[in-house]
Amino acid sequence: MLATLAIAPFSVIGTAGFGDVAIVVEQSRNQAFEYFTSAVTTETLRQKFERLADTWQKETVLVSNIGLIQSNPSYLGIIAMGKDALPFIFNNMRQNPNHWFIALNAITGVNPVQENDRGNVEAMTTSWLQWAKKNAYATS
Amino acid sequence: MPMPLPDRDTIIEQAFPTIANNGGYTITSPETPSYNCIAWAAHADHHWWEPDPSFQYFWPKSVRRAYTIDSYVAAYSTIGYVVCADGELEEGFEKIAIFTDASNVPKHAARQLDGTLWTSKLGRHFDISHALHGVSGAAYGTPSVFMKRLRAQT
Repeated sequence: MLATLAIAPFSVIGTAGFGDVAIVVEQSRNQAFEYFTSAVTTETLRQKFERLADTWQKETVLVSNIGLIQSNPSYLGIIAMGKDALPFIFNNMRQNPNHWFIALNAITGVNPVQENDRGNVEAMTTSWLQWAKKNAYATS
Repeated sequence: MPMPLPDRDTIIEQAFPTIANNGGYTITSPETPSYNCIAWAAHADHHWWEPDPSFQYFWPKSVRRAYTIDSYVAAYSTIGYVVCADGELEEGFEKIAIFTDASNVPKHAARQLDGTLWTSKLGRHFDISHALHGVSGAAYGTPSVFMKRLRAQT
């Protein structure tokens, strides 16, 4: 009942002649509803991560510029998952080191990589997996 | 035992549609995210060279971090390269080519192997040997700056 009441006023506004603003509000509400329901009902977090990671890998595998690699929409989508993405990222990088460092830094706000290891993907991966273990994100 | 390298790769041929008619290419190493073309041109295969403003990747300390041709030229200058006129083979020297897009933003670097072949690391994908213009196009732009150094300085 509460949910219905929360949504209903927007529908009413959308059909009550309140002009362009009401239409925009109505469209935004519909987009938000679609986003949240699709995320929750049709795809688990793991599936979402794997879909985004796979797309990111395919779309940027030939790119040598981390700035472009990290601005890929799928990579940004993983960052937008926030801490929900961390277990999947750590599992992924444990199996196949990859350039998750910008995402990890964006999500956690920390960077455990020592200055001498900058750019050394293996060492950077090791540093992050140690951080994950210390912070109870490691699963194995 | 290492996996045998493929003779052909659809990702490469889709990204560089003229490569087959431009001398072809040979895949020379397995896929790895450990280093990029910028590092590979500098003979570095254990670091990813990147002038990222977040300081997460390797970039020569004395060089300003920026995605500009000046920053890339300065980075290679730290290991003995100087700007030269072209990519023609010169006895005693090795050369690199920096590829840029229409806005002069660096997109790629390749290193000369001999009079006809260059070597490139393709992002996180394979290393290949190829003709200089085999990887020119929408993905990497075109070679716009050449640099050289004495071949002994490796």
